[in-house]
Amino acid sequence: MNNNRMCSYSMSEIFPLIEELINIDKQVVITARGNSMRPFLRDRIDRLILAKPCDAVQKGDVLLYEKPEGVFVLHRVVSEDEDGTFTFMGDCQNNKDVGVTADMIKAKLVGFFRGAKEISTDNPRYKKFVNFWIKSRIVRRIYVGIFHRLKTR
Amino acid sequence: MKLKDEIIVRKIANETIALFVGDERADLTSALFLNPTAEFIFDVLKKETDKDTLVSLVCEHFGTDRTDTEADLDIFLANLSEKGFLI
Repeated sequence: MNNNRMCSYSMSEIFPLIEELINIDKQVVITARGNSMRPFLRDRIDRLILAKPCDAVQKGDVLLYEKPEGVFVLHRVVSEDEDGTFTFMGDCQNNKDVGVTADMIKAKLVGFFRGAKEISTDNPRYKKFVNFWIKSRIVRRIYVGIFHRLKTR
Repeated sequence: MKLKDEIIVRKIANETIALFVGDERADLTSALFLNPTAEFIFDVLKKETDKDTLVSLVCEHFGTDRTDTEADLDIFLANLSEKGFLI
Protein backbone atom coordinates (compact mmCIF):
# COMPACT_ATOMS: atom_id res chain seq x y z
CA MET A 1 0.00 0.00 0.00
CA ASN A 2 1.37 3.37 -0.98
CA ASN A 3 -1.12 6.18 -0.53
CA ASN A 4 1.43 8.96 -0.67
CA ARG A 5 2.91 7.78 -3.92
CA MET A 6 -0.49 7.71 -5.63
CA CYS A 7 -1.14 11.18 -4.18
CA SER A 8 1.85 12.51 -6.09
CA TYR A 9 -0.15 12.19 -9.30
CA SER A 10 -2.63 14.79 -10.43
CA MET A 11 -6.25 13.87 -10.98
CA SER A 12 -5.78 14.40 -14.72
CA GLU A 13 -3.06 11.72 -14.65
CA ILE A 14 -5.10 9.13 -12.76
CA PHE A 15 -8.51 9.99 -14.19
CA PRO A 16 -8.19 7.82 -17.35
CA LEU A 17 -7.87 4.77 -15.09
CA ILE A 18 -10.75 5.91 -12.86
CA GLU A 19 -12.89 6.44 -15.97
CA GLU A 20 -11.99 3.00 -17.34
CA LEU A 21 -13.05 1.39 -14.07
CA ILE A 22 -16.28 3.32 -13.46
CA ASN A 23 -17.30 2.64 -17.04
CA ILE A 24 -17.32 -1.09 -16.23
CA ASP A 25 -19.45 -0.28 -13.17
CA LYS A 26 -16.71 -0.54 -10.58
CA GLN A 27 -16.45 1.80 -7.68
CA VAL A 28 -13.00 3.34 -7.32
CA VAL A 29 -11.26 4.19 -4.05
CA ILE A 30 -8.79 7.08 -4.06
CA THR A 31 -7.23 9.27 -1.39
CA ALA A 32 -8.82 12.68 -0.79
CA ARG A 33 -6.72 15.63 -1.84
CA GLY A 34 -7.14 19.24 -0.87
CA ASN A 35 -8.98 20.88 1.98
CA SER A 36 -11.88 22.43 0.11
CA MET A 37 -14.28 19.69 1.28
CA ARG A 38 -13.48 19.86 4.98
CA PRO A 39 -14.91 18.97 7.47
CA PHE A 40 -16.29 16.00 5.53
CA LEU A 41 -13.21 15.05 3.54
CA ARG A 42 -9.72 15.56 4.93
CA ASP A 43 -6.66 16.04 2.72
CA ARG A 44 -4.62 12.84 2.32
CA ILE A 45 -6.42 11.21 5.25
CA ASP A 46 -9.87 10.12 4.10
CA ARG A 47 -10.40 7.78 1.19
CA LEU A 48 -13.12 8.50 -1.32
CA ILE A 49 -15.37 6.01 -3.08
CA LEU A 50 -16.26 7.21 -6.56
CA ALA A 51 -18.77 5.71 -8.98
CA LYS A 52 -20.34 6.44 -12.32
CA PRO A 53 -22.89 9.24 -11.94
CA CYS A 54 -26.04 7.34 -12.99
CA ASP A 55 -28.82 9.19 -11.17
CA ALA A 56 -30.06 12.69 -11.83
CA VAL A 57 -27.91 15.32 -10.15
CA GLN A 58 -29.35 16.47 -6.84
CA LYS A 59 -28.52 19.32 -4.51
CA GLY A 60 -26.10 18.00 -1.90
CA ASP A 61 -24.40 15.48 -4.22
CA VAL A 62 -20.62 15.55 -4.23
CA LEU A 63 -19.44 15.20 -7.82
CA LEU A 64 -16.16 15.15 -9.67
CA TYR A 65 -16.24 17.49 -12.64
CA GLU A 66 -13.70 18.62 -15.18
CA LYS A 67 -13.41 22.30 -15.94
CA PRO A 68 -12.85 23.40 -19.56
CA GLU A 69 -9.17 24.05 -18.77
CA GLY A 70 -8.75 20.39 -17.73
CA VAL A 71 -8.77 20.88 -13.96
CA PHE A 72 -10.70 18.27 -11.95
CA VAL A 73 -12.72 19.41 -8.95
CA LEU A 74 -14.68 17.42 -6.36
CA HIS A 75 -17.28 19.72 -4.83
CA ARG A 76 -20.86 19.72 -3.67
CA VAL A 77 -23.86 20.74 -5.77
CA VAL A 78 -25.51 23.72 -4.11
CA SER A 79 -28.10 24.47 -6.79
CA GLU A 80 -29.46 23.61 -10.19
CA ASP A 81 -29.84 26.79 -12.18
CA GLU A 82 -32.51 27.91 -14.64
CA ASP A 83 -30.24 27.37 -17.66
CA GLY A 84 -29.80 23.69 -16.70
CA THR A 85 -26.28 24.12 -15.36
CA PHE A 86 -25.20 23.46 -11.77
CA THR A 87 -23.54 25.57 -9.13
CA PHE A 88 -20.93 23.86 -6.97
CA MET A 89 -19.12 24.88 -3.82
CA GLY A 90 -16.53 23.24 -1.58
CA ASP A 91 -17.72 22.58 1.97
CA CYS A 92 -14.81 24.65 3.24
CA GLN A 93 -15.27 27.49 0.79
CA ASN A 94 -17.46 30.52 0.39
CA ASN A 95 -16.95 31.02 -3.35
CA LYS A 96 -19.20 29.25 -5.82
CA ASP A 97 -18.35 27.60 -9.12
CA VAL A 98 -21.20 28.36 -11.51
CA GLY A 99 -22.08 27.07 -14.96
CA VAL A 100 -21.08 23.43 -14.58
CA THR A 101 -22.82 21.45 -17.31
CA ALA A 102 -23.92 17.80 -17.10
CA ASP A 103 -21.25 16.69 -19.58
CA MET A 104 -18.51 18.11 -17.32
CA ILE A 105 -19.56 15.73 -14.52
CA LYS A 106 -17.35 12.65 -14.48
CA ALA A 107 -17.95 10.77 -11.23
CA LYS A 108 -20.02 10.80 -8.08
CA LEU A 109 -18.94 10.38 -4.46
CA VAL A 110 -20.93 7.42 -3.10
CA GLY A 111 -19.08 7.04 0.17
CA PHE A 112 -15.82 7.54 1.98
CA PHE A 113 -13.60 5.91 4.56
CA ARG A 114 -12.79 7.56 7.86
CA GLY A 115 -10.02 5.27 9.02
CA ALA A 116 -11.45 1.77 8.59
CA LYS A 117 -15.05 2.96 8.85
CA GLU A 118 -16.94 3.20 5.58
CA ILE A 119 -19.61 5.90 5.42
CA SER A 120 -22.12 5.84 2.58
CA THR A 121 -23.43 9.13 1.25
CA ASP A 122 -26.88 7.53 1.74
CA ASN A 123 -26.23 7.30 5.48
CA PRO A 124 -29.08 9.23 7.21
CA ARG A 125 -26.73 10.85 9.76
CA TYR A 126 -24.40 11.99 7.01
CA LYS A 127 -27.33 13.40 5.03
CA LYS A 128 -28.60 15.24 8.09
CA PHE A 129 -25.20 16.79 8.70
CA VAL A 130 -24.85 17.75 5.01
CA ASN A 131 -28.27 19.38 5.10
CA PHE A 132 -27.29 21.32 8.20
CA TRP A 133 -23.97 22.34 6.62
CA ILE A 134 -25.56 23.62 3.42
CA LYS A 135 -28.17 25.65 5.28
CA SER A 136 -26.02 26.95 8.13
CA ARG A 137 -24.21 29.75 6.35
CA ILE A 138 -23.06 31.43 9.55
CA VAL A 139 -21.60 28.25 11.08
CA ARG A 140 -19.99 27.50 7.75
CA ARG A 141 -18.44 30.96 7.43
CA ILE A 142 -17.05 30.76 10.96
CA TYR A 143 -15.59 27.29 10.31
CA VAL A 144 -14.08 28.34 6.98
CA GLY A 145 -12.62 31.49 8.54
CA ILE A 146 -11.08 29.61 11.47
CA PHE A 147 -9.77 26.82 9.26
CA HIS A 148 -8.07 29.17 6.80
CA ARG A 149 -6.65 31.30 9.60
CA LEU A 150 -5.14 28.21 11.28
CA LYS A 151 -3.85 26.97 7.96
CA THR A 152 -1.94 30.16 7.21
CA ARG A 153 -0.22 30.23 10.61
CA MET B 1 1.20 -20.15 -10.89
CA LYS B 2 -0.24 -17.07 -12.60
CA LEU B 3 -1.72 -13.70 -11.82
CA LYS B 4 -5.39 -13.65 -10.94
CA ASP B 5 -7.63 -12.45 -13.74
CA GLU B 6 -8.73 -9.57 -11.50
CA ILE B 7 -5.26 -8.01 -11.61
CA ILE B 8 -4.81 -5.24 -14.13
CA VAL B 9 -1.56 -3.52 -15.04
CA ARG B 10 -1.73 0.07 -16.24
CA LYS B 11 0.52 3.05 -16.86
CA ILE B 12 0.01 6.21 -14.83
CA ALA B 13 2.18 9.06 -16.09
CA ASN B 14 5.54 7.30 -16.51
CA GLU B 15 5.01 4.58 -13.90
CA THR B 16 3.41 1.17 -14.07
CA ILE B 17 0.94 0.01 -11.45
CA ALA B 18 -0.79 -3.28 -10.72
CA LEU B 19 -4.25 -3.15 -9.25
CA PHE B 20 -6.69 -5.70 -7.90
CA VAL B 21 -10.16 -5.08 -9.32
CA GLY B 22 -12.81 -6.76 -7.20
CA ASP B 23 -16.40 -7.59 -8.15
CA GLU B 24 -17.60 -4.25 -6.88
CA ARG B 25 -14.58 -2.06 -6.31
CA ALA B 26 -10.99 -1.19 -7.19
CA ASP B 27 -8.84 0.42 -4.54
CA LEU B 28 -6.22 2.68 -6.09
CA THR B 29 -4.75 3.38 -2.67
CA SER B 30 -3.51 -0.22 -2.53
CA ALA B 31 -2.03 -0.30 -6.03
CA LEU B 32 1.44 -1.77 -6.42
CA PHE B 33 4.03 0.33 -8.23
CA LEU B 34 6.12 -1.85 -10.50
CA ASN B 35 9.76 -1.29 -11.37
CA PRO B 36 10.99 -2.65 -14.75
CA THR B 37 11.88 -6.04 -13.22
CA ALA B 38 8.49 -6.40 -11.53
CA GLU B 39 6.81 -5.28 -14.75
CA PHE B 40 8.61 -8.05 -16.64
CA ILE B 41 7.62 -10.63 -14.01
CA PHE B 42 3.98 -9.49 -14.11
CA ASP B 43 4.04 -9.80 -17.87
CA VAL B 44 5.32 -13.39 -17.65
CA LEU B 45 2.81 -14.26 -14.93
CA LYS B 46 -0.14 -13.34 -17.14
CA LYS B 47 0.16 -16.95 -18.31
CA GLU B 48 0.56 -20.08 -16.20
CA THR B 49 4.28 -20.36 -15.42
CA ASP B 50 6.35 -22.46 -13.01
CA LYS B 51 9.02 -20.93 -10.84
CA ASP B 52 11.96 -22.48 -12.71
CA THR B 53 10.76 -21.06 -16.00
CA LEU B 54 10.24 -17.65 -14.42
CA VAL B 55 13.76 -17.69 -12.92
CA SER B 56 15.24 -18.66 -16.30
CA LEU B 57 13.33 -15.91 -18.12
CA VAL B 58 14.38 -13.24 -15.61
CA CYS B 59 18.06 -14.37 -15.72
CA GLU B 60 17.99 -14.38 -19.51
CA HIS B 61 16.30 -10.98 -19.79
CA PHE B 62 18.34 -9.13 -17.16
CA GLY B 63 21.56 -11.14 -17.29
CA THR B 64 21.45 -11.90 -13.57
CA ASP B 65 22.93 -14.72 -11.49
CA ARG B 66 20.52 -17.66 -11.10
CA THR B 67 21.04 -18.21 -7.36
CA ASP B 68 20.52 -14.53 -6.50
CA THR B 69 17.54 -14.26 -8.85
CA GLU B 70 15.91 -17.31 -7.31
CA ALA B 71 16.34 -15.92 -3.79
CA ASP B 72 14.93 -12.52 -4.80
CA LEU B 73 12.02 -14.12 -6.64
CA ASP B 74 11.16 -16.24 -3.60
CA ILE B 75 10.64 -13.06 -1.60
CA PHE B 76 8.80 -11.27 -4.40
CA LEU B 77 6.46 -14.19 -5.13
CA ALA B 78 5.76 -14.72 -1.42
CA ASN B 79 4.82 -11.04 -1.23
CA LEU B 80 2.49 -11.34 -4.23
CA SER B 81 0.94 -14.47 -2.82
CA GLU B 82 0.37 -12.77 0.53
CA LYS B 83 -1.43 -9.91 -1.25
CA GLY B 84 -3.63 -12.44 -3.01
CA PHE B 85 -2.35 -11.62 -6.48
CA LEU B 86 -1.50 -15.22 -7.48
CA ILE B 87 -3.41 -18.41 -8.19
